Amino acid sequence: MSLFRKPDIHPPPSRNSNPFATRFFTPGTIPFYFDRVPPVQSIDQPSLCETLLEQQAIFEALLAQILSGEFRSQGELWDPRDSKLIPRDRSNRTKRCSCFAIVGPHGTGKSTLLAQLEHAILESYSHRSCQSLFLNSSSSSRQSLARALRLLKTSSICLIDGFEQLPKWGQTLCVWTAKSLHRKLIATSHVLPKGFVPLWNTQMSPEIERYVIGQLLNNVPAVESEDDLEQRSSNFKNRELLELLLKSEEWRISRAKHRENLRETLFDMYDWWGNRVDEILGNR
Amino acid sequence: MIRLLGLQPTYMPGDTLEFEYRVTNIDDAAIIAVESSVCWVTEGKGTEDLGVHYFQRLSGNSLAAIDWSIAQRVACPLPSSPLSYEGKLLKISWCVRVRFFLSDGTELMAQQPFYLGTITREV
Amino acid sequence: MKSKWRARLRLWGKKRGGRMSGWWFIGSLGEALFFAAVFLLGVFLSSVLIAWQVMSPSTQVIKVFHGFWLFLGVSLSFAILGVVGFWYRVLKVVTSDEHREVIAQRRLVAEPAKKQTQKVPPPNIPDLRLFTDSPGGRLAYRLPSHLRENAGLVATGIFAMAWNAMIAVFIVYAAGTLFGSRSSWQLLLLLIPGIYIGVQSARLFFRSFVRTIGIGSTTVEIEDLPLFPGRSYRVEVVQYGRLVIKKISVRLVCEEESTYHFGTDMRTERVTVFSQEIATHGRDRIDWGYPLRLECQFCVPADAMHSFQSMHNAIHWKIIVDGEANRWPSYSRSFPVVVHPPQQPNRTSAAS
Repeated sequence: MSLFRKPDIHPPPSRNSNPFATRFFTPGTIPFYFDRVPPVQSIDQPSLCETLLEQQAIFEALLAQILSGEFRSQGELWDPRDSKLIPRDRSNRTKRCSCFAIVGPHGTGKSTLLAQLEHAILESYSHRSCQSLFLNSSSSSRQSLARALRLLKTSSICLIDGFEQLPKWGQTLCVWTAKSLHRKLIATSHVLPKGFVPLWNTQMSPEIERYVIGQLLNNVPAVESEDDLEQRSSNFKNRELLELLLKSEEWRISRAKHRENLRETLFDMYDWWGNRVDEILGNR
Repeated sequence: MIRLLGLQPTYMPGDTLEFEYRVTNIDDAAIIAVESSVCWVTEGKGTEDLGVHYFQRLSGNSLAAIDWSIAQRVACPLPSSPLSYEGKLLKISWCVRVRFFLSDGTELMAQQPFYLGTITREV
Repeated sequence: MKSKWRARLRLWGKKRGGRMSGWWFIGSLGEALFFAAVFLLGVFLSSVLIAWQVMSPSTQVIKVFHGFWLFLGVSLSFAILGVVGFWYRVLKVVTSDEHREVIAQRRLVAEPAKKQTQKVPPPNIPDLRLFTDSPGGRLAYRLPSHLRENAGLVATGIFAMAWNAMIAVFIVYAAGTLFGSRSSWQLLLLLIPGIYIGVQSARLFFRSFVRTIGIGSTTVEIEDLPLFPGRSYRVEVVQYGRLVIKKISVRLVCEEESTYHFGTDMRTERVTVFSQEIATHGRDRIDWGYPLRLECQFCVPADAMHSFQSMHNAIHWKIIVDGEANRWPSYSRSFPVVVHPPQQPNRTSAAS
């Protein structure tokens, strides 16, 4: 199973490409980064997950959890009202479930993880019928619900991004439909919808910020330095540039302003790059 | 491996874009479809947009008649817009793309960017 | 002095020769107020009649013909007359007389002959018909305006009318309960904030209306469309109204617009990438019938990007008129134009 880059509709990045253009961070382009122990039994080391193998292991554990339909109640849950993590049920029971939710605030990677799951399910389990649906504010809640129900009727694995767009009674109807038709439903939401079990609680951390920025800066061909063995051996091709950005005033102000929402900061960094690209590339 | 041949770096609106593509190290029988396209994409702070100016898909009988030992030629007249552009919020890039779909489910793709018009930066 | 004020307060402007003798500003406001009053009277009378009929169905309101239905019809016609007259007056202000007249006459100035290349519009460029359906009085086309201010005026007006109509009905009901010796003090207390909102919304609307009348409309006419990079174009800006202008300037602007839409997240950003002052004019007095006319010429840069429109991204060209006036807030009005790519000689083969 590959770690999950969606096909790019673009020509390869050129010297003039801004690494903070949306094409580089739209969900599905950067692999999701698991920065802590997931709420699954298979991995229980309370350490940061830094290597690719660990990332892959966590991801596969989540996927196995979805496909087996077994859920262990353990770990923490993101509470958007208090902006903090709260402990979940510690009873450590295993129960059967068909509705899984990726829960977290705006811009923390819910859609990224969902896109990655879709890609993996389609790639490895293509015999199963798997379809995804993006619910957005441009459709009425009635239209959104109709689309969601149609999806549940036609697919055995349904992925719904923006589940909170549905009215509460519509959410309940979807859960009921999924259970009665024996469908797997994976959804993203800002709060845990009723009838769902939390698959992963997305949140922002300095490690994730560093990881995402590093991934984006890898799209700058002009700053690659092939002679620099230290750089080549590191996760990031351009550590110097990463440090420059993380120390910048714009980054500090933007992070303070947008808090959990990294996506908004990436938009701010687009301008930062546009204003300073000559200076940055000139220095190198 | 797919190779794109004969592409110029820059074309003017109304020019005819001509190129050839050749595939090597692939069993002819494994090719189930081939798509060639000329398209533009936006890149920048907004959601990416894609416009397909030219598209050709070869499959079935039309594919069986092709001799893959020789390069395949594609030609299409280019439109007058949108021209290649590099602005502050958005960039418009043109490219030629060829995709091979193989019987084992894999997909091979080659693409090459080009400029339509003399590149226009924000004025 | 007395006759001057009489003329100013004349409700219906009267033409003498080539100009209006009444003060158009007060005339428009007076007409709007008159129709608003007719509307409220109609709503008030209808409410009284309906309340009367509901509360004491045994009594006949007026003993003429079909009493209730006749008077209800009359009252509703007042309301309809008021609303139609009011909006006609308001809309007359937000789109100038001249503009509507020119559209009615069509093509005062001969339209430039369509070029061969314009038959097939270039892809991903806004449709030119949206910009050329309004012929100009002096130059070929009158540019459509982004009516942000007017949209606000209309929205405020609709809210004020609907709210005040609702309050009028409640007032009638409250008055009925008061006279019927079963007074509802809770309803009367609730009416106080309702009346306050009604008065404030009407005040806000009339202030916006006065501002729109005072500053007047701005029209921009251009000699040709679409625009092509490297070419020069004549443009005429006309500022109507009755005010003293401190400064008015005309700019050619290119703006990039990008929308990011994913799930519930939607953000649109605009940035001006090119701005060139076409004309500027200092202190001047404008009166009704004597608008300020600015004739100028501008050149689209030879290396300019053409207009572009895709689902989430766009490049807009526009002519922006900025004004500063005595006693009025500064205003800015924008008039979109279309820039096409430079015309190329026909080519048959790839560039070498």
